[in-house]
This record gives sequence, C-alpha cells and structure tokens, in this order.
Amino acid sequence: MISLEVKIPDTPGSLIELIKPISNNGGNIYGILHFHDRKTNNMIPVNISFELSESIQEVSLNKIKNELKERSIQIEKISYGIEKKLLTVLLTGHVFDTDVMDTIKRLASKDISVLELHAKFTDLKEYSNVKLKIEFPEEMNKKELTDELRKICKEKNLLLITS
Amino acid sequence: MKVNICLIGKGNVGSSLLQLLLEKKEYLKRKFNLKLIVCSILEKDGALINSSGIDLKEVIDAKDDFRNLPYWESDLGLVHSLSELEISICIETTPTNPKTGEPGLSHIIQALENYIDVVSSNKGPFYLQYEKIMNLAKQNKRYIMFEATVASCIPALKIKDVLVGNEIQGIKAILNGTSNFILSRMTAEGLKFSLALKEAQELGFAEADPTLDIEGYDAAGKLVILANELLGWSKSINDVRIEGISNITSHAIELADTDGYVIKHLAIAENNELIVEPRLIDKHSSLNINGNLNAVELETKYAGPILLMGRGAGGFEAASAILNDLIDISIKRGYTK
Repeated sequence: MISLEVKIPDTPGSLIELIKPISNNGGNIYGILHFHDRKTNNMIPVNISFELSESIQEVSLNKIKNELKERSIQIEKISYGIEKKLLTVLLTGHVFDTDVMDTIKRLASKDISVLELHAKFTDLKEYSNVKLKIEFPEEMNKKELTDELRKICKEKNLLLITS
Repeated sequence: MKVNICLIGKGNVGSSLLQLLLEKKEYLKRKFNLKLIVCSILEKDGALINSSGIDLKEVIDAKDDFRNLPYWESDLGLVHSLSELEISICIETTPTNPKTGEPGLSHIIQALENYIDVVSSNKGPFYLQYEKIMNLAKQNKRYIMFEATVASCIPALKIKDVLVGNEIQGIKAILNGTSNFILSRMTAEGLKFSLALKEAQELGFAEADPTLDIEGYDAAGKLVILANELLGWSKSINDVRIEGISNITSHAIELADTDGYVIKHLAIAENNELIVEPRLIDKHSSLNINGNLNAVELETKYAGPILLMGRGAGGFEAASAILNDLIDISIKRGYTK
C-alpha cells in the first residue's frame, strides 16, 4: 500500500488531476482523505492511498511522480504502509503446559500478533484445544507464517490446523 | 473384435469386474463390437486358465470355491498366462503392500515387458514407482491406465483429457472416505474420535486396522498419482507431508465451528508441494462434503475451480472405472472397429 500526501488547489477538477496519473499507471485506489480544515492559501492537503502490483511498482511510481509534477501537484510525503493479514489456526495438544505465552512471544518476535485466543479443555491431563486469530504483516506470505507456526508446534508436539 | 484379457486378483474389485463384464457383454458387443475374453484369472496360489475363454457365470456362482473348478491350476503364475494365452490386456487388482507396491508392481512390469497393455486398480506401484512404470510403458509403446486407483469411479484422472484446452494449476481433494466419514460424524454429532471410528468400523467403512486411512497414507498415495497425472509432476509418496486425524478432538471441531469452519482431511497439491493434513475450511466450501464421499477440486487457469464428487470406494465403483479403461484401450488399439 502506497500513501501520498499532496496539496491541491481548492478548485473544481483538481481532484481528477490527482487521480488520473495514479489510475493511468495501474494504481488501485483505496481511499482519499481531504483535510479542508487545514486549507492554507486555497490549497487543501489530501492523502491518497493506493496499491501498485509489485512487478510494476518502481516504474509506475516514477511515472506517477513525474505526471503529478507536470500538473504542478506537489508531493509532500510518500509512505509505504504495511497492511496486516489475518489467519485463524487451531492448536491441539498440551498447549498450556508447553507455555502458550512463550508461543505467543516467539510469534511476536517475528511481527506476528495473536489478536484472540479461545480455549477448550476438560482436564489438565487431557489435550487442550486453542484457537488463535493471528495477524501477520503484508510482506509475509501465508506459507512463511505457517512454516513458523509449524516449527514451534513440532518442537512442542502440538497438532496445527490452519485455515 | 475378440480381445484376450487376464485378471490378476479375484478379491472384491476383481469379482465385481467379472460380474460387470458378464452384465455388459451384450452392450460391449452392440456398442463397440468388442468381445472381452477372460482367459485367465490369477490368484497368489494358482490360476483359472482357459484359452478359449472362462465361463464367467460359472466362476461367479462358485464364489470362494472357484479353486474347485476343473480348469483351476495350482502354482501357475503370471509368466505362464502371458506367454501361453496371447493376452492383449492385463488387469491388476491385487491388494497393495504400501511399502513395496508388491506384488502388483512386479505384475505390471512383467506385463509391460511382455508388450501387454495394463489396467490397474492397485495404487501402490504408482505412488512408489510412477516414473519407472510410465517410462517402461512408453519405451514398449504400451498403454497403462489406472483410473480406479484414485477416487474409484470418479473420473479424476480422465478429466485431463477433456481439459486439454485449459490448464490445471492445483488440486485440493478429499481422497479417503473413512477419514471423511469420521470427521463428518464428529462434526454432526459431537462424537469423540474413538467413537466415530468404531461406528465407521461397524458400518464397514473402516478396516480393523485403519492406520493407512486415518493417518493419511492412503490419501497421500492417491494425491501423488493425481499430481503426477494432472500436473505433470514426478513425485513419490516420500515427497508428501502427511498429518493424520487421530489427534482431532471434538473440542477442536467446536472451536472451528464458532468461526464458521469445519475440519476436513485435505489432500493438497500446489506450489510444487504435496500435503495431506487436517485443515479448516469454510462451512460453505464445495469441499465440505459429508459421509464417506470423495471430492476433487481442480484449480484451472481459465475456468477457476472444477469440482468432481462421488463415491470413492467399492467393488463395482472400481470395476466400472476398470471397464472404462478397458474400453478406452480397446478404442485406441482399434479393437472396436
């Protein structure tokens, strides 16, 4: 996800001039925020978020920057936002006896966050069952995440069931 | 045209095939001008031999007493049949030794080495020695067909012939009816694994020793065959990551349910990986099938997912797949003209 902070004149058609270079160069626009309350010298700060496919990202972004410059739209800031992804998994085994906090902390060290934990168990001697809702970074693919989980589960002799 | 065939293995599948050949005799003659003559039926301790064709009704009526028929010869092996009886197609239906693929593997190789086309319902040889068998068949210009090895009568392998204009990119499947029955019962009734397994055994859906089914080896073998045939891979069962279902608890199924998931024992071929393991799938997924059914979902490049579903085991189900292969080879060889 790419986020551009720009200033555009508060005149009809200005927003189209901002959007055209992005959509013409393969940008998939997610959102536009206008900050009318921060208008100065008839210029409004605008934040536009869009996605470019990885294969064309560098070339397209350069074209977008050039085309905005040709339209006298000044870029204040470019940021590459990180979008988190979600996965639900089940763990079966001695999940608590094998230190579930250690499991969560080890995932956190890889920027993987456990958002929710639901557990069901009948007896401390029996297997417990834990459902985790996990958030992982955009740059990590599902296989990398499950490989990381599998490594921990193998070590702790837990059954991992992924969605 | 008359075509001499031999059957190796007179178990459930072999016996069902004999029944089917008898029932379809007139149809095959009328529709394909094809007369399939069973000249030998081999068992591990001998063979029924008749060069002019065995009376199938007599063999079927004899049931387990077929060794008392006058043309039973003890200790006669495959070599004799292949060299003496001008066999054109050999059908292999013996039980699989999951570690060696024997005795089916040797039978298939012997037949191909003797320039005889082969139809098999025996999956062991194919998930262990796929490349060797296919290379030998190619080298000797023989047909080898084995539709019945995967999901029985569901045309999971033949479908590639009708998708030649498309491209199969991945496979997700439920390939073992026993494990699917157990998980379905655990989901529907909240049963413990052990109770669901007992129920499956009582209904005849699970063997007395269900290890190969519930630990995923049976599904893994079928997945290898599917991936090699449909995706053009050259894998063996040793390449499959396998996790069974025996540690699934009813609590795990309840937890999955609260998020709209069910647990299914999936066989997956994607990104050059072969996996058999329990997975969470959406309740509304087309793979959420119940009972002892099988399902194969093919991810295609130009048409998205294509789903095949049906009974994946049973004598007549497998026999009908074998007969399809026999007809297919007969057409390709010009026996139907």
